[in-house]
Amino acid sequence: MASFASIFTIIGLAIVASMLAVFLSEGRLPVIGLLVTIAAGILIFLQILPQLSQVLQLFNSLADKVNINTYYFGTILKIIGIAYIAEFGAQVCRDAGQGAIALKVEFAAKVGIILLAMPIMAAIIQSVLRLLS
Amino acid sequence: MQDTQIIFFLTALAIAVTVLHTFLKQAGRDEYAYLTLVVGLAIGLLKVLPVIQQLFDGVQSVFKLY
Repeated sequence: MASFASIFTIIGLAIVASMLAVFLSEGRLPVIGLLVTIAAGILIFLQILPQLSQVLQLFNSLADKVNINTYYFGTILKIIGIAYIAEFGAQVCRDAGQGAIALKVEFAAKVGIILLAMPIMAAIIQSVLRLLS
Repeated sequence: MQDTQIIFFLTALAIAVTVLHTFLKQAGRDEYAYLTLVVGLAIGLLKVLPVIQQLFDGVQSVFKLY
């Protein structure tokens, strides 16, 4: 029931924020429109945060039940978090018209993700090598 | 939902800054008009910064990024 009510909250927030952002970006101080966009995005994310953590807890308990190594699950979770936050930042930069900075943000996120995934790739290669020998 | 106030605050800030800017420009005080733009932008940024901090804290705690 809580999720049913909050989808309407989110839609209302998004519509009002979009109208205000369009209104402000044509005025004397277009940067404030960008700030409104950022604030609306963050507020929407904070609205869905409790439900998201519920879903993640469920996944965690499922992973515990089938005896997946929790290290791998934590790594996947971290990768999703990095991807989300980097996409948020890059989209803000792109909205401001700075596509170059957005590309750099995405590149940094890719490097971070590769760094996190390195132990998993090493484990896969090691098991392949063990199969071959 | 008191966080929603920040969107309306930013809108009111932008409108007030625009009015002040137009007023000062009509009065021939161009440097003060520019100063109002800078001050308005600074106030807006200072208001949004804690919200961004909140987002980073939330993402860090949910996705266990340390």
